[in-house]
Amino acid sequence: MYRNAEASGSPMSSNDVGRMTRLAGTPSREPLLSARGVTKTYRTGTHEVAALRGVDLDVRAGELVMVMGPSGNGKTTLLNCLSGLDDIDAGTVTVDGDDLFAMSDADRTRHRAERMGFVFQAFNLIPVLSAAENVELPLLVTGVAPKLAREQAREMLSRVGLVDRADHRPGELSGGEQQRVTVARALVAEPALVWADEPTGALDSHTAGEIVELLHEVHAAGQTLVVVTHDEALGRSGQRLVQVRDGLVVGDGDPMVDELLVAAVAVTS
Amino acid sequence: MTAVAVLAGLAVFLLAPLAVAAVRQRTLVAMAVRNIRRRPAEAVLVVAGALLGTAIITSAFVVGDVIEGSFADVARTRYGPVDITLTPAEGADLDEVTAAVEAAQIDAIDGLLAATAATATLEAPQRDAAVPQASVVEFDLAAARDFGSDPRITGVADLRVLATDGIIVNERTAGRLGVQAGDTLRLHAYDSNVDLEVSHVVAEVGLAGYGGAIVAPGTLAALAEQAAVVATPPRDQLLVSLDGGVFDTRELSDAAVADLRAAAADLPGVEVEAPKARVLDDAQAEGAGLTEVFSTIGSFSVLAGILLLVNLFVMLAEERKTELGMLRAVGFTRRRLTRAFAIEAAVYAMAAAAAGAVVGIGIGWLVAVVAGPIFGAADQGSGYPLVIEPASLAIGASTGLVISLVTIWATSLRIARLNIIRAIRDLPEPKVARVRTRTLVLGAVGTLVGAAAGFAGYLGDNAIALCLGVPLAAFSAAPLLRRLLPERTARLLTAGTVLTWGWQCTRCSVTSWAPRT
Ligand SMILES: Nc1ncnc2c1ncn2[C@@H]1O[C@H](COP(=O)(O)OP(=O)(O)OP(=O)(O)O)[C@@H](O)[C@H]1O
Ligand SMILES: [Mg+2]
Repeated sequence: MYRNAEASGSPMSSNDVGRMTRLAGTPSREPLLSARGVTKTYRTGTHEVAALRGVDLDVRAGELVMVMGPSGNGKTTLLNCLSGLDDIDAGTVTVDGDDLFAMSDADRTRHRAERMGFVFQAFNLIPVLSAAENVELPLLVTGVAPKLAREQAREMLSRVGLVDRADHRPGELSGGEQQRVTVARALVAEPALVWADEPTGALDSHTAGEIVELLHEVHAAGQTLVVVTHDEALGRSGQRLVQVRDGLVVGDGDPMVDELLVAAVAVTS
Repeated sequence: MTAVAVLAGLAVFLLAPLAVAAVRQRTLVAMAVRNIRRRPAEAVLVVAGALLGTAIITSAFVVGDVIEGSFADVARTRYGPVDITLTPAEGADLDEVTAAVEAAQIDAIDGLLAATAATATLEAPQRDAAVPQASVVEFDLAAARDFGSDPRITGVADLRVLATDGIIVNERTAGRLGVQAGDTLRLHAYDSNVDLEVSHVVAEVGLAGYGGAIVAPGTLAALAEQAAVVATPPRDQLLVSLDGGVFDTRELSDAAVADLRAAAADLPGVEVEAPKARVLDDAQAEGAGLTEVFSTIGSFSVLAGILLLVNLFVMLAEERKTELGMLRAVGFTRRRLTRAFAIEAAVYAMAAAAAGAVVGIGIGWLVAVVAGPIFGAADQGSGYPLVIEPASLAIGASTGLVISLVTIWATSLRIARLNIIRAIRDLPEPKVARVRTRTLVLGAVGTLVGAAAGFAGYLGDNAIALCLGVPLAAFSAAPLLRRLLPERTARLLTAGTVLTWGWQCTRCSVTSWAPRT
């Protein structure tokens, strides 16, 4: 893997080999992430919004899980809560065998730094840091030596095709380039799980296509991803589609089968 | 000095974790520096706001130093090498006193000078001017030059001879009479007078300030002899200089006075006085008193400065909220985030402490010049020397720095508690309707500490503790009051108490000085 890649002339391939051996090509039996009865209610003054009303979800290593559903139905909330970025009101979320909400905040943060990567719609890079410095942050917080972190950040940037822009600040990059930097940052620490919330939402269709392609590449290399999207094409391009409606998971399965089901229901009724 | 050590220790204690973090995590430094450079105008604003506290504290000390310096300068202008005077009873022999002092071999003494002093009226006939009650002294100029260890502080080092019909006047006396060298002065004493020629006009320094005029030995005695009745004849005095110059002999003075009293114990009616020590002590008391007055008044501005500081740092954090949230998401623990933010803020704090000390010197000096006459420092002739005591600057800067750093730590600990998602989306934190238990406990502790400080200040006559204790107690009581009263009422009550108290303190500290004007 990257962290011991010093001997390898080609970290890319060593990385792939590592993942392949771990994953053996197919999703494993034990779920990487397991959520049970997760509820989340937003309280603003007198208002209460039950954004999640008892969500159960398993994600296995190596899966590419697409999450879709109408706007305002809780997709983002689901991602935020299952990743431990936001607090939940009830339920449990286990990642890699650890109960996220039974940990202290510091432990959860370390857990997140080591096992998760994030791609958001709004890129969210640190404006005063260069692309390479942004990408190396997750490595630095997990204690990787600065020199090695910089090397790995550059390798990751070259993987997303941006090595020549490594020293540019986010403000000097286009939206698509910024999102590729974000993807690089999400992947650099070799997380067990990458979360993406509408990663193409702020991009034009061409640039969005590039990012979709990049995500598929990453998945093909063995990365587990959970992607929230409004993009039908992106949503149906995965092997698994989770449908969220009104704070609940209402559909979960192969998008092709789903489509057949929907068609069948339409025919029978 | 212990205060400085304690404050410096505190500052180091507060800075050390940041320094360690900065050394180990260069990215944090890069972020801090670039954030500062990104908005120079804002950086200047933050430093300007943050230096307020330091400037006020420093200026309070500088006011004291300048006023003390102004009063203490009398030691240079009117005493110079003269530390102690021995005045024997009327008619007694000064030589006996001198012999007794010499026999005692007191180590601290580095010079003796026999002098005669009288109060006389000086008249300038051509100018139609006179100075009544002028102090006129006689001594041997050659001996005076060698009096003490430093001829320069005698004020008469350059004077060679004084003719029997000559008189040396200092600039102050010359100014009041409008005379210059070569003019004639008429010396009136003992119902008699003599015309003397002004041989030199010299600066009012040392012996040339001890007397407003210096005449040749024998002049006063000759006048007294002609008189029928002599109410207060010229007094012989033995002037004593202690080891050192003008300002550094204070420590030797008390012991030397005791030794001299012992030495002269067998001689009848010898008065031993230490006029310079008295001047220096008074000056110090004046200075310390003014420092207290101004720090009492200033402490409310410092409170305001702290509130400003909190607002500045909260504003800085608000601006970076999305970034800070993202850093949390990427794996920054709260601890690391606290450091990341505090490093940037500490750079501002250190710049503000340095700049604040400099600004404080300026403010302090201006206040001294404006307020000095009110407090009776106007007649010193020497004006307001811009005294800059390193200790005062150190206390001002380190107090300001410690206040800033504590504020920074409090702010960044609070900021680090942000909800990641709300921060990333830049949503406002929801209002906590319920007062947290921790806030209650802190409030209770603050109330107790404030009340204790106030009470101790009242008992111990420490105006600063008294004045600051009460608002601290009031502010700390606010969360407790909010449990019992509607929030608005609680706030009004707290703010009202603090404002009234502040007004009263300011009034009291000013009026307590009024009788001295
Ligand atoms: N911070 C918040 N405070 C209050 N309500 C919130 C907050 N965030 C989300 N909500 C509400 O929770 C519900 C679910 O929101 P969420 O953002 O999860 O929806 P979504 O499915 O991601 O929508 P979209 O597709 O538009 O991004 C919505 O009704 C939203 O208004
Ligand atoms: Mg959303």
